[in-house]
Amino acid sequence: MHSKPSVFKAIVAISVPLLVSFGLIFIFLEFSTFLSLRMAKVLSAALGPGYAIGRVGNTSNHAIRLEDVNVSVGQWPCSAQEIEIKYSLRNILKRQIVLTSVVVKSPRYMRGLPVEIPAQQDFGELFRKKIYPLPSGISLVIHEARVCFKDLAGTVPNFLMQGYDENFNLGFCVDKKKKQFSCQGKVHLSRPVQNNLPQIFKFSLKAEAVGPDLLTDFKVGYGAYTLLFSGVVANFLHAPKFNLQFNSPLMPLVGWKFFNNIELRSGEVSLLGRITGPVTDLNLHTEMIMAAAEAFIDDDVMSLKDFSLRSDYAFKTAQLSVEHFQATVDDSILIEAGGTLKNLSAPEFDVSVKLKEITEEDPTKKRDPFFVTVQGQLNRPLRQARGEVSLVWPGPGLRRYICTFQNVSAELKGEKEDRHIVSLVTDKIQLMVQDFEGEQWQTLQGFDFDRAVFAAGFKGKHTYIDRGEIEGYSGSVRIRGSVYLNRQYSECDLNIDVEHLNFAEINVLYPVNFQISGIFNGMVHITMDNGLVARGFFMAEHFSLKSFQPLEKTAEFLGINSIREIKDAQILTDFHLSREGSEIKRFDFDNDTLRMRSNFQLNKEGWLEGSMAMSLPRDVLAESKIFQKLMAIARQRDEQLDFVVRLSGYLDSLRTELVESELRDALKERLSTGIQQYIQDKINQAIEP
Amino acid sequence: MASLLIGTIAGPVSAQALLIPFKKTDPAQATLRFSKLRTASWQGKFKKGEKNKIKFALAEYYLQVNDLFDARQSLEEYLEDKSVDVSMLLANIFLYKIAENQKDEQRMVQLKKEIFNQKFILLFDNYKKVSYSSLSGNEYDVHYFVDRIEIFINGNAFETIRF
Repeated sequence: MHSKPSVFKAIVAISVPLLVSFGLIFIFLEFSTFLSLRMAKVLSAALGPGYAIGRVGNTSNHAIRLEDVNVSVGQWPCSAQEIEIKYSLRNILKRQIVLTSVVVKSPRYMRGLPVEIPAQQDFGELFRKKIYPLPSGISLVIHEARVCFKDLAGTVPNFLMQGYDENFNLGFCVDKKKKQFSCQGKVHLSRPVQNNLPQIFKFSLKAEAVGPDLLTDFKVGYGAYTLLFSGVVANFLHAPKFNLQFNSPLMPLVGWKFFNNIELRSGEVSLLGRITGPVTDLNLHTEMIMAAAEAFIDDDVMSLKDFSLRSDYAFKTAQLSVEHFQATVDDSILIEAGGTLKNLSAPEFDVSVKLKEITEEDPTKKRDPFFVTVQGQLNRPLRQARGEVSLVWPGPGLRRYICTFQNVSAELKGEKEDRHIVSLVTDKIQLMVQDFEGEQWQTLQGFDFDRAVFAAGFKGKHTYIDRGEIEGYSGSVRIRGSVYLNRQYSECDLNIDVEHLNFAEINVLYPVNFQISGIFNGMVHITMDNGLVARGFFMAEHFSLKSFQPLEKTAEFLGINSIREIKDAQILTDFHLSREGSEIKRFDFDNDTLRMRSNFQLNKEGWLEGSMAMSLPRDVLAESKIFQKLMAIARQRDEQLDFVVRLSGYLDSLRTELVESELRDALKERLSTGIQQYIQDKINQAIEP
Repeated sequence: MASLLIGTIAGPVSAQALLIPFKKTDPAQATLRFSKLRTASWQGKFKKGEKNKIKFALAEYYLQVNDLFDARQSLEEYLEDKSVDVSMLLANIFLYKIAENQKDEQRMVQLKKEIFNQKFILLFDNYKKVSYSSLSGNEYDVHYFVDRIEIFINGNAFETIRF
């Protein structure tokens, strides 16, 4: 029985202090919440209008934690989930609270805040003494504090891709006492990312002030790709000047996609470069090297070797200069390029490309390069371009052939039947033959065509010309067909129709000077069979030829003025041209002075075999005193005289044999061998150069 | 004595001899003639216009003894003088035969272009004939057709070269 009161006493003895303790704690918590809210109001009021602090939590000696802080002062309204401030009261008599540590957690600001590279004075500000006067008459001093922002999130517009904003998340600390700055963070890409690549950029930065200079280490990571920066920002407080180097380990490119239809299936690229210059005029120099890569273009495979790119980007002018670009495509074409790209929002480009064919027989033996020069402007969203295109083919010696497209407007029209459709319209096409004389290029021959319209489709290495029409000289040239260029085999199936090209007294200066007129019609079918093969025919009506020296010399020698120039002739030619050998199946010529039927074969060594049947009116031959005399000797009275000639030999040393001629046969009967030999020798002397 | 001299000056002898219908002469006389010509060539003792003829004759001698190495060298030196007569064509044809013997197809293509480098017109006959007499006493007749060249040496058909 005695035990009950003692147990009760024990329970009371235990529970009363507990209850009292719980009560005190409850009262303390209630009081501290009240105090925290009250202090928050006091502090908000002390900071002045525009500052709102939700509560002041868990204060301790020389430390204070502010929660739910909102600032709507000035143009940058912002908020923070928590700000932990450590301070010293050593200068309290000077009415200053010296902050020794400030940690801002989860700060936020309103969307649309402009993000700029800090101006010269702003950058130095990081390490300068700062005094913020408060309305209460007390100032906050940040001098030797460590100031940290953690989990700072925001959005910035992408300056390369209009309409896309990037979310970023970063933290940074400024240790003013040790003069150290560190920053780490990540950027979430909001635009669609292909290639299954991560959508996050990570970066970290450490910087330390040494005298007037700042030593920095910087690391940027993007999935498997890392860039390491290191260097100096000289005189960073007053006139910062950057000299940072960066490099990357070999970065795999497998899976990268471009333009929806190009996918890299092998290749590793290494990158190195430097960032130099004052902060207001930074320059980014980059060198990219890749030994070999292979890519799919739609269903085709393309190899890329010895790839190197050297470029400069000026931040101030937003100009990208490609100093040198080089790559060997499919082991057959060496591409070298250089140029500039200005104004990235509406890029203006000026690019020169040099293409050299590498022969299979000897890879070191490169043919003369083919040049493409492109100038113009790309319109957003990078589907339209306007400008000028120039194609330059090398000729023999110091000669070149130029094709210039002026006021070109090109546009990507999307996809149709798995092909990427491109349309091209140009106001003028100029064809020129130029020689380098007197230290400058002189135009020997030029042809000007008017408007040209092309509609082409691309799939892999296939080019389909659905429509190609060039207008000029009262007629047109129409092109239709397809081209497939591959290292192993190539295909070509192009139909070119020439309709009513009316050349009126065109001065041809190359390969020899002469003047032609006439209306030309024809058709050429170009295919690929161990090199390009061209089959087709051409007709010329009202054809005239003037100032053609070989003809003038012949006329002079024979004394026949009527053949000094060709007037109002009709020409018909049917040809088959190829690398293996060419054949002019038919070259017919008809006018009042001469009728000719001929055919020629030219083999790949340059040996020509041909025959020509000519018919000339007696009156024309009679213009020549020699022929007059010979016809008299031969007693030739026919109105038309016919000759059949056989040609044989290399093009520059043709041998001619008069195979059939009634005049010749009659002369042979009547002239002595000595006279025959004399006539033949005289004619042969005349053809000597 | 003659064979010793030939062996000394002639150098390596080709395994397959070129069958050229040169004038048959006594080997001792031929060697003596060769020796005289060579001395004249070395000493520069020759009549005006004979310099090339001597070089051609020396080349003939090398061909006769089937010393193709020296024959080739001698013919190439001969061609450097850019003579304008038919002997240039003959020199090129001999070089072509040597290249053919040595299966040097690239050289054969080059030489063919040299052989067919003359343009002409045939009006009354289907070929033109040009003759040449060498200092060795060989008589050459060349028939130029539009598509081929026929060479006769001492009246015997030697070669027909077509493209």
